[in-house]
Amino acid sequence: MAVGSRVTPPPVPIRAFVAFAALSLALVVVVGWAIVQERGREWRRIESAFDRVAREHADAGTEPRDRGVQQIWLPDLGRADRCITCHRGIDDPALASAPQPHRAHPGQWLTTHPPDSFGCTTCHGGQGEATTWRGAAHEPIANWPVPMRHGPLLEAGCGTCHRERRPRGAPVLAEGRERIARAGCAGCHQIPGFDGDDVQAPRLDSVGFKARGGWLRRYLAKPSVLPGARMPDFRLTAREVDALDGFLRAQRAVAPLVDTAVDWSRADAERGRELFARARCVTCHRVDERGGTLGPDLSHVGSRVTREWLWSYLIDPFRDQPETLMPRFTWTRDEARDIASYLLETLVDPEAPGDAANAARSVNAVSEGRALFVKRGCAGCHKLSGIGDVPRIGPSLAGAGERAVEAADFGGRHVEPSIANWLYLKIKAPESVTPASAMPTYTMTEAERLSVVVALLSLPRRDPPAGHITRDGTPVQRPPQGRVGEIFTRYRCLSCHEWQGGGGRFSTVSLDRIGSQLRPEYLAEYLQRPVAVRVGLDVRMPRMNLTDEEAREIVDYARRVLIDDRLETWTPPPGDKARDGKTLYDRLGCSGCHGIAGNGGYVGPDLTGVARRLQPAWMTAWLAEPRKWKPDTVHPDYGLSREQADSLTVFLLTLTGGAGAR
Amino acid sequence: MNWRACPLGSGAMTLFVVTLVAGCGRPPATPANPVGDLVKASASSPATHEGRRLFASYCAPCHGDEGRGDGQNASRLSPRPTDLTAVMRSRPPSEVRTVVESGTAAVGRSPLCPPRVRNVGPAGVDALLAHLRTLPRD
Repeated sequence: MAVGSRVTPPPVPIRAFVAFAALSLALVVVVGWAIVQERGREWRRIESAFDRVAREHADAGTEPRDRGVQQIWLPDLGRADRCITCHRGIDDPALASAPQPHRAHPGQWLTTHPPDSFGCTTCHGGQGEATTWRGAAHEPIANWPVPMRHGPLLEAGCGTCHRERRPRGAPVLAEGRERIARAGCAGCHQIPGFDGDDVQAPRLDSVGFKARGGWLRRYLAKPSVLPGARMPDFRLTAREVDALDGFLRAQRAVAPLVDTAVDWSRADAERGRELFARARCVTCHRVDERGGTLGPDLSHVGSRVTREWLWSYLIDPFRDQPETLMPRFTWTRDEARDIASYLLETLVDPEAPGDAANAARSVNAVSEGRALFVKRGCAGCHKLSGIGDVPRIGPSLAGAGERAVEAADFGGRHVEPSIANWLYLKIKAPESVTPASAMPTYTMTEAERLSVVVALLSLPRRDPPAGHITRDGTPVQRPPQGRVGEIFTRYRCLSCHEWQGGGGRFSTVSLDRIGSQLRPEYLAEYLQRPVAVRVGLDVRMPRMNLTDEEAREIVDYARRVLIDDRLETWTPPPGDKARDGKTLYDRLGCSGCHGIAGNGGYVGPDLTGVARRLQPAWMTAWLAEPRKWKPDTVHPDYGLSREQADSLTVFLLTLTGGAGAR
Repeated sequence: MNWRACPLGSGAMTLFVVTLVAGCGRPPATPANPVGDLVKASASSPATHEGRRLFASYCAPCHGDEGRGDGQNASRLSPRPTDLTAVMRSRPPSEVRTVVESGTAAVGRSPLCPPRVRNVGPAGVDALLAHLRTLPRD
């Protein structure tokens, strides 16, 4: 019997031992390398550095922190921000002066925007999930649509939630939004937040009667010939100018008013100049670089418009421009003639070509001009019945702030690829980015252009949750009804005066509570003979010659409707406080801005006769809390107590002098 | 073939080498970054938009657009408004801050320059002071 033979395993080849040893060594190396890598991560180095910084500031009371990667997870905002892994002292006031990245957040922003609810990238942009400096998109990185926003660009972050036209605390964003509204960008582009804005460009139905020969050609070719023109430069060719000129001069829907009884041979331009001055036309219109900008510059109006149209417009502006901001003044036919003759004879452009430059128009030009009018989006700002409503010609700008950079075409330029740069170049010179661009060129300073870029960057691709969004109150577009409504409409009160969240901002006086602020007798007098109480201001209410009946209607309406219950009662303080009030008036230096009978400054309203002008309850309320009633007021907020405000009011009530009411 | 013997070949080679060296030596042009430049410029100049705006509405009526004490309201005041361009040289920054925050009365002078901290807030005071530091000095 054979003894069970043992199977000898084949000898292990030496090569296998070597391979095994090599693999083991490699494993050790890899694991060791991983450990070293992990220990040496950027955020760990910063964490250790933070510990040192925190020790140095320990006497200021820094809190101990958890170690490791920190994260704020906000499902509603779709964010997981790990920024606080490195910015660990962000909410620690003791670290206000620590070096970055350990320093506390500046200002009071975290009080109103606690990081636990808002995260970091909601405002700052960047890539919140990254834990390296580069990966967090502190600087632009490829394929990350929202790089961190620095400097003024940071305000774009504010704008993603704060949808007000002028968000407080974000001045660049506010200016950009104002500029977008004023430039009429929404005429061609759908822009969230700008729907329903009226650009106030003139209606062109009857422009053929209005424009003097040659003027439209000059203006279309180079809009800057009209100082302060809001119309941008469409870079039209000479042929296009001719076509549009021909088309526009054919627009003659409503003929100007004609009165054969007006004797133009007796026109008195000198009297016209006086009437122009007395009505305070320069409150809204500039002449030779002085005056307001609510209406068009009139420096060269004599070279722009025809006599027939101007006279008719002065008598009834609503005939040609039903939506104009300009009131219908009460001028006689001869007064209108004199004003027209002053404007036409004196305010002319010496460089304007004569009427002879008016080329004959062909039928071709008219139809070509009409096509151009539609193609270049003129109808986006100018109403013209023959054209009607046409769709916007430009692309929607919704989500413009987070558009994919790859899709942006820089027209072959060597430019850092960012949406901010693309928007900037497109605004500065549209044809340099898109050669055949229909977008016109706007004249803006670099700062203005930057502000528009900031406002456009604030348009997110996806809205934050509704609860985070703040908006302006919905303005009440409806003026008062009935007889008062007619008066409001005729004199265009709401072109300048704020009204329940709407109206104009040209005047500093809101009409919302005017009945509780002014004494009725004073209001009646002011409406008929407006005498500025702030003599330092160029902007003064025009003199529109209201009738007694009209003034009475408005005063009555103000006393019944334009009131604020908080201002309806005032109880004089006990004792004689007039002396206390006078002492306070001197101690606060009120005379620096306010005059009384010729003494004192003229930054604020003149106080001679203020007792006949203002209601006492309003005086006290205003003096105690001026910013409550007008957040941006220049009136100093002294933080006066109610008693102090009452004493001042008692003193002001002694100022009954007659001169102030006029 | 000995290329040294061929003048054309040696010339071509030299040209090639020179071109190569020149090409490598020139760093790639950095891309333009117009918005980045504007942001940098706004960071390097302490005068912010906000500082200018606040100065124009709160200070310029008396002190003038350039702070020389020659504003529209200046002739109405006694004592006259200070020439801020001189003040920024002669007064300690802490005093200037006190005046902006709490008015001239707070430093024992006339009360004609009112306190502003409640109107503009702490950030507004900082913006105003930054603007004051940029006023021309002659």
